[in-house]
Amino acid sequence: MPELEELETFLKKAEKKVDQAELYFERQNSTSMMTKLDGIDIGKSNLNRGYSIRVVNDGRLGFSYFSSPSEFDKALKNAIQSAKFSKKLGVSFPPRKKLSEAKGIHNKRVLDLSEEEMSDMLLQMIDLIKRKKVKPLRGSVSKSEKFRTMVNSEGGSFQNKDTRFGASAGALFKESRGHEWFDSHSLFDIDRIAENAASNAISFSSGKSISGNFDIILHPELVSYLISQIFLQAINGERVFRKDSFFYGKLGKKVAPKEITVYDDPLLPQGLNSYPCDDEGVPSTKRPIIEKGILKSFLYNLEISHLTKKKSTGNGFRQSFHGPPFTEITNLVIDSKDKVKLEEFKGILVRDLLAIHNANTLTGDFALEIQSGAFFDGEIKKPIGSCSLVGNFFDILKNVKMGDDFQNYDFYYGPSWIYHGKVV
Amino acid sequence: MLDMLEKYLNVPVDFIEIRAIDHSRTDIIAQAGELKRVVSGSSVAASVRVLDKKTWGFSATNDLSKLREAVNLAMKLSKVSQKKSFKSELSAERANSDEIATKAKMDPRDYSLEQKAKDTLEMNKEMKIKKVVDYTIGYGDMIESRYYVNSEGTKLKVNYTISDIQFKAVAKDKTTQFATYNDGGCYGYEIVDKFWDKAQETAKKAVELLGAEIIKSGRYDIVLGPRMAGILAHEAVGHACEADLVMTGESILKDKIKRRIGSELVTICDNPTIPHSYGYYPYDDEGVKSRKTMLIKNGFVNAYLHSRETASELDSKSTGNARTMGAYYEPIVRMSNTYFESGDAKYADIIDLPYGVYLEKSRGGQVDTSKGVFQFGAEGYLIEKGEPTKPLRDLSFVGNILDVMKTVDLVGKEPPELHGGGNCGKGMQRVRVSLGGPYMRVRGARIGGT
Repeated sequence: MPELEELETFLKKAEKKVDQAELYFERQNSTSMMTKLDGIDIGKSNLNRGYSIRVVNDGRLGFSYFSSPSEFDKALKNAIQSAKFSKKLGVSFPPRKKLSEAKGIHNKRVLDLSEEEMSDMLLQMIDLIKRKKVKPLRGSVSKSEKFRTMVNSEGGSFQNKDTRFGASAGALFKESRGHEWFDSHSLFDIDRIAENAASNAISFSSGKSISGNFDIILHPELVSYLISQIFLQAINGERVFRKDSFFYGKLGKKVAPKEITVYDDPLLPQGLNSYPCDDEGVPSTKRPIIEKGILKSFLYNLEISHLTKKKSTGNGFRQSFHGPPFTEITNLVIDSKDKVKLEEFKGILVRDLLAIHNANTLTGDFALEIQSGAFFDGEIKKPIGSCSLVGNFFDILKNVKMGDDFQNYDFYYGPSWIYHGKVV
Repeated sequence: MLDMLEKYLNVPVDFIEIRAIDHSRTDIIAQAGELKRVVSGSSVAASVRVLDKKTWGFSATNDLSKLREAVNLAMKLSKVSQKKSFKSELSAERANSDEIATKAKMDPRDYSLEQKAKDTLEMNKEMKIKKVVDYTIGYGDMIESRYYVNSEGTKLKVNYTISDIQFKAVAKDKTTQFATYNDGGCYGYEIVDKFWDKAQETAKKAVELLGAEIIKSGRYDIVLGPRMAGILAHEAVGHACEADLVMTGESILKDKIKRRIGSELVTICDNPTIPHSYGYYPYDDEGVKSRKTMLIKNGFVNAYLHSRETASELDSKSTGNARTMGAYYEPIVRMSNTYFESGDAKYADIIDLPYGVYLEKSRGGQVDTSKGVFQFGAEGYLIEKGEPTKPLRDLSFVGNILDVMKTVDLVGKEPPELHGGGNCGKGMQRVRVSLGGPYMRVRGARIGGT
């Protein structure tokens, strides 16, 4: 691979000036086609490539980035300067280790998909939405391939590539917008994306406001947003170390019903965030975060593992080459021994909440307007009108029951959540 | 750079534009009295957008040696999309040629990384007060050049110097609470002095929130501080005035031009021309000169915000509101600095409620433009006998645009106070915006708590 050879050349140069060095390269090619109303709006193609460099001098970690090989010398200088200011954590880059295979993350069929096929898919989605007598809004079909590679001065290295195929659709019925989306490493049937978007627009149009205590189902997509806003902050090892987490001092305590186990599983077959190792070369392993209701572990990247005197959990990922690795979840998988049959459930379904980022990340308190909700009796019944869902995420987690559905939205692999809660 | 980009314009399409953005950025984070990260780096990228037979094609790369391939790819994607396209057109606009730069009082390039790190750390240490268990400052400065050429003769280079600053303090006793403060603008290193005092203010606010109560949900008369007035202007009204949403039928303000939606005290505008503001730009990302747009005038919907495409669709002219997050994104309709204009009320009269809620600081918000429903998070105080008294936390202000604007009954006479440092997200793109207004009063607002 020419990129690997290039990185090794950079590494040799860097090693002459620093105690340890790490060179990272990523390249992403993506193509997307987008619709507006009942036509194709734009076809887009992006090629993005770039490098990160990290150095360790006297146990201090420094970072910089560059997009052109000619800028390497400047970036090395910036990284050395960056290290001078950082805390002496004694960081050492990991040596090469045996990595497990992340199965089903690269699919040639995605790469072979032509722009013409993608535009046909979009037109098919528009047609499906219109057949339900709903107005199509915006939709997209996209494909991409991401290649990333890393070498470090301790012999650590990896190369990895994965593909992604995604589709999204939006629809309008009266004043109600419905949406649906899905991303995968492989091609999938896009019809359900269009059909769900249209159904969501119809199912959650305006209704009467309600108030009181109800049995509530939180849709899996909504659960993923609440987890992202609140739970992922609470299991971040650095936040716990800095007492900036609800879970500070709660390791080993009961935080959920005993029937529930929550894993971070970076080796989940076909998992959207499955990788053999993280961006720092730390091998992937499946790890329980909550086991039978007991809080078992937090997540750490390399830098934070040194700060907190813990071991890296292999959760150091970069959003792009522009930034150093942050602690990120891979695939959050929920396993429940006790499932509620949704076809027998009666209550309120909450599909979407407005402004989820208003939920208090530390305490878990929230009072959020229900953007899409409906009465539920084995299936979606009448929509509900303007009202707020009020509660506390961690109180919900303590008593939550899991639905018998299992869905995937981004990092979340789990069912609907069911609890008794308040609407005002 | 501009001359190099121009060489790629001569292709057989109806319209082509090329933009390139290069930036160098420094970020410093100090946390709990120690430097956590000091990073500098730079990058460059360019994108090509073509409109041919009323169909768009777009391609971006950060390898400028591959710009010819990007042009060909954009043309190919336009052709593929022509099978059944939306049929886009552009409003006729004047071609502009200019080179312009924002003016910072203290150019950040004149200050060493050592100086910046030392000052950030000192500011951070001022946040260490009793009960504060964690405290962070993020300082950032960026020198960005945006280059733009199109096949109609527009040729622009705009140099921005932008700085931003973020504070966060976490306080703990029986409970744990946090407070944040963000700001920024087309400033240089003067931002450090300008916002130095916010370090300790943020820490004190976090401690104050430990004793804050959660109010019972219900209807209250409320007072909005400048930041909350700004978020009402931006989220509730600004987004609904974005013509791309109007065009697709996703805005409750569709077909409402010249219709009354608020009290006569409500005047809201979007204005990218304010020097030093976070949402400042002299030309938008389609090369159209920026200008102030009155969205709501004395309670009546006055105008929508347009790109060249939406202006053509709705038979109007571009308002210069087409913006991109960066070279990898196509321009879409966005706000800039959005705010309530001043009224004539005194603060003493606005706060003079026997019982109510003062919403001081926003924790962000969201609007469903098609239903007109919005929700904002806030921190604030209970108002008792005309005075802010007990601190309140985790407040939410929920309403419908068409109802709430009618219940504004006092608007302060002081000039609108603008706050930057925030990014507005839409269509996977985040752009710099600021927002604000004077103090104002709203009757019978829906406030969420417990």
